[in-house]
This record gives sequence, C-alpha cells and structure tokens, in this order.
Amino acid sequence: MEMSDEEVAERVQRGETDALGILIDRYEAKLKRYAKKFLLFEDDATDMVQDVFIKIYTNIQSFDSSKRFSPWIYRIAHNAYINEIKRRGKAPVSFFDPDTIFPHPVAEEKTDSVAQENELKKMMQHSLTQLSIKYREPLVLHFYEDMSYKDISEVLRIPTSTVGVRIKRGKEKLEALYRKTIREYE
Amino acid sequence: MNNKHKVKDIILDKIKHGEVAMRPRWYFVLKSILVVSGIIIGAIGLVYTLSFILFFLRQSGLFFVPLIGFRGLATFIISSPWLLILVACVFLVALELLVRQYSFGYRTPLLYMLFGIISISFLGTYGIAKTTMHDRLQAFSENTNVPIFSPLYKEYGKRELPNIHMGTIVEITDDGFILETIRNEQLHVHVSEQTRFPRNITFTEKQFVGVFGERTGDTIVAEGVRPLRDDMWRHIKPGHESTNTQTKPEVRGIRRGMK
Repeated sequence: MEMSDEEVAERVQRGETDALGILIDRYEAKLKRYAKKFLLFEDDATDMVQDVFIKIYTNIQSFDSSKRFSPWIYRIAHNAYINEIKRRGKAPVSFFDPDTIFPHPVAEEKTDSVAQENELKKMMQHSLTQLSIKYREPLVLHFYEDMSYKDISEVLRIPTSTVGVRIKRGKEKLEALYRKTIREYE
Repeated sequence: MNNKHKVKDIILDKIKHGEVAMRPRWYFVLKSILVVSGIIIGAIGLVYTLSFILFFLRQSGLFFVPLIGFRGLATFIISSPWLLILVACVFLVALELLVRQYSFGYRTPLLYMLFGIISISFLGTYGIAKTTMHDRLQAFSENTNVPIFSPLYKEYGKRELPNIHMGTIVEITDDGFILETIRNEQLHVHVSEQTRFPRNITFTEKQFVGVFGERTGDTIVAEGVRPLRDDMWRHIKPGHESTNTQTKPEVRGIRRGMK
C-alpha cells in the first residue's frame, strides 16, 4: 500500500532524506503547474520549484503530521511565489483586503456540469492572465489543483467564506473579460 | 536526464553535501513559544491599558463629564488620554496579528476576531475595575521609582483637569452648596437655573458629587452637577464617610429651581 504524504513527511522529519524524493515525485508537476498558472511563467518554472522544495526540506520540522500535508506544501509554495511577484514588482500585492474583514455567507459550489467546467476552463485558458492575483490564485487552486475552499483558506490564510467570494467574483470577472474579448474579436 | 530527475537529484545532492540543512524542531518550538508569549503579553498589555484608562477617567472625574451637555462632551474629547488609547490600539493590532498565526485566527473574519478580542478585553477590564489594583499601584508608585510604571501613575493618576471638581457636599447654601474637594479645599458651588443635573434628584450634605464648571478663586459656577457612586471613588476620598442618598436623612436639599 502506498504511503500517505503525511507518513512520507514523517520519514523526512526522522532524517530519511531519500523520502524527500517521493514528495518531489508527487508534487513537482503540481507545483510547476501552480507556478505557471499563478505567476504566468512562460518557462517550466524549474528553478522556482527547486527553491520551494529546498524550503520544504528546511522547514519540514514545522509540519504537524496530524494535519494534511497538501495545504502545508502549497502554503510554502504560495509564500515563495508571492515573494517572487514582489521581487519582480509586476503586480501590487495587498496586505489589506476588505473581503477578509466581514463575514460572507458563501457556500462551496457544487461540481459544475462537464459542459460548464469545459466552458470555464476555456475562459481560464483565454483570460486568466488578465485577472488580478487576488482572484487568479484561488481560481487556479480550486480548478487546476482541485483544492477545496477549506484547503485554499489554509494556503492563503483567509476565511473560507472569503475564498468563496473570491472564486465567485473571479469567475464573474473571467466571464466578463472573455465576453469582451470575443466581442472585440468579432 | 529530464527535468523531473534533475530537480530531485539536485536537491538530494545538495542535502547530501550539506549545502541545505533542515532547521531543528526546537527552532519551531521556540518560535511557537514566542508567539504564545506575545499573545499573553499583548492580552495583559491590552487589559492593563484599558483598565488604566478607566482608572484615569475615574480619578480625573472625566467619567461623568460627557453627561453634562456639549461643553462636557468637548472637555471629555479634548482631555481623554489619547496616548493611552493609541497604546491600547497598538496592543489590539499586535494581538490580532499574532492570533492570525493560528488557524482559528485567520479562518475567522477580521471583524469577528476584533469583536472577540475587544469583548474579552472589556471583561478583563471590568474585572480589574472591580478591584483596587490601580489604587494600590498608584500608592506604591508614590514611594518608588520604577521606570515607565511610576511616571505613568504620577502623570495620569494625579492629573487635575480644568473645570472638573469632585468632592463631598459639606453644606447646602442658598445658591448652591459648599464642596470639600478630594484635595481638601472648600469651594463654594453656585447652582443656577442653567446648571444641569439629573431629574428628580436631591443633593444632600455628605453626598459625594462631581461638579463641572469654571472656578474663580473659591467659587465654581456650576454648569453641571452629578452624584457619584461612593464605591467607585472610595479610594480618593479619604476621611469621607460613605453615604447613600436613599437611606440617609436629608438635612437640607437642593433641587432644580430651589434656592
């Protein structure tokens, strides 16, 4: 039976360095995809992901194996990517977000139909680059990385209801951008 | 060698050659201890500062002044300890940031978290206000010179604010009363039709009151008079008997319109 991520992480914590290789095998492609979609990297983001894995190894003792490993690793990647955005000075990163102040009663959306999902993926491929970081990141984590609102709230350290608001608004903005581009093209 | 193997091999190679080291567990334990200590210090600091503000409002008499019309409210705003309020805000923000290190902190909307912290702090402040902690600390600070602490009580604990006078009515006169202040001065308080005081209240001798009005020599032209609860000011009126207007017999009384 395959070991869980948490069990593998425990082995790394105990000093079994080679076990890190298993985590790299499991997460390298995911973190590269996350980097490419979130940071809009055109290359394969290898150096960036390499730095993330080094941070994961350095900080592995802070991982609580009673919790899930996936949000923890994405949290480290998120921090590294945000630092990269700041370093590049490409987009403003806000420390203050009014969405996190007030509670929002937004329930997690049910799975869309295949047609809706395909339509959304098409819109994301087309207009994701034009979306601000605030909306782009939860959309990437939810639709490309298949993360739940609760897991995204762990990664971004914001209330779950705020994740819902951002995904809802992100989808609306995405749709508006997509329709606008189609109209201009026609 | 493809990229996938490249990343894994490079990292494992760096670890084996000691170029990358794992931070020890105690580093993170220490970090957690520091955060928890910060939360405890922040919470104590916030409750202490809020209770000290309450203590200052009580000692200076600023507490009752907003009840006396617009001028009273203006005095309250101008004379409020803004520096202490700012310190309390700093503690509040620091506490909020530290609590956000934990999942229950960042998962809760900021407004709820602030409301929770403020509510708990006010409960703590209320608890301290029920004790004589600040009165004892003030008495202690008078004989000692502890940095920050002693100047704080010397600066705020004994501050006299203009137009605010507290004391005991020692005699009812034709146009008001004689007030023996907490600084053992006897002042003549002139009460007129313009003086504001609560409806249906009769001021009696031996009653502890707060007077808001300009002082000229030994006379105060009262803009407002308020009865003050004995238990709240018991420590700043030494030598004064505890009185209760409900049970003590009235010697001579002044009511609105009575001369």
